[in-house]
Amino acid sequence: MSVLKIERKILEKNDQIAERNREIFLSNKIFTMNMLSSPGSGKTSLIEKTILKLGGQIKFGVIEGDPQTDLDAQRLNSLAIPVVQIITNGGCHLDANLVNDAFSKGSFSQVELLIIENVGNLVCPAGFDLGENIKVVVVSVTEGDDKPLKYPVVFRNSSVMIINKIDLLPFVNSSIDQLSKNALEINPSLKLFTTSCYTDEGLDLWCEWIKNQIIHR
Amino acid sequence: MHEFSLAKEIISQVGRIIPVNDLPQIQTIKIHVGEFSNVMPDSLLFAFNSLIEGTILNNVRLELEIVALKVKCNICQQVHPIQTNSFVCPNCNSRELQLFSGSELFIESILMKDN
Repeated sequence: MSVLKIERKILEKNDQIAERNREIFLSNKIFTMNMLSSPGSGKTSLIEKTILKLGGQIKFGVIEGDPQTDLDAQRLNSLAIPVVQIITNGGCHLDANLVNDAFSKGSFSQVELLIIENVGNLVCPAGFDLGENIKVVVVSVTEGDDKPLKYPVVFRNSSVMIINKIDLLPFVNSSIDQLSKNALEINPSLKLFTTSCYTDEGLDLWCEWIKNQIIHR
Repeated sequence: MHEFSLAKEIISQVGRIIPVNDLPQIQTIKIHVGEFSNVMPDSLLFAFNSLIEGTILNNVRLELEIVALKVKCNICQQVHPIQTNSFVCPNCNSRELQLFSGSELFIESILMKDN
């Protein structure tokens, strides 16, 4: 018997392409956000609202990831920004190569903020570096305030948490305080926002924070 | 579900490292899997075994070593194992912690049979 020492990351190839993506984004002065959440937490609505509020001030681009259909890209196309839809054919996450390919298909060179909407899933996407500047995790109040405890990796690896659909708080057994506390137990440096895409509550603070990221990128 | 992607990556990496003629000599592939890597060991084993069935790697064993979640405290500098839902230093209660281990996901070694 002989033992060959290997010590190579299983996701080595993904990480190499993610590093290449990072260099491309940096050289084009593009700030990149990887948005992660469960299905139906309101990521696309948040992206729509953010672009509607900041569209005149920031040049946006979006890469959409979904297991099937280009419905999200169709929604965003009306906002007159470059959008590329990745259909993963059932795949549960985006990887760096899919993003690299999507980036080359879109007209993103003038973009200042590229939002990558990942496949709705709080497990698998957390492990794949796409070359983004930050991960933003979105959780809606309808999902319950224990989400961070059940999916700690994504909350630990994210820089921002948006608690969405706060207009529904009177109808669900969920507390923003408890949700925030659970998330901060796992990642005390998480930046928190609370939003509603129905009433627009909290969106101005979120948009102001984005503007600052773009100015200081 | 992403365990299948990982199993495929393991197989293609091994294919890049080991020359084709030596593939039948592989007995065991040893993997380190961190407790905080979002990988389910049983699913990874199932995916790997499903993918190698009927191939040249048919009898290869995937051995997983689970690496505990540990943090290093920026204040007291101590390393401690912690639970996944509370990042607090058990020694000084600080929250200024960095991950020391637990996110690993790599091929540690390959055990080859002698010719």
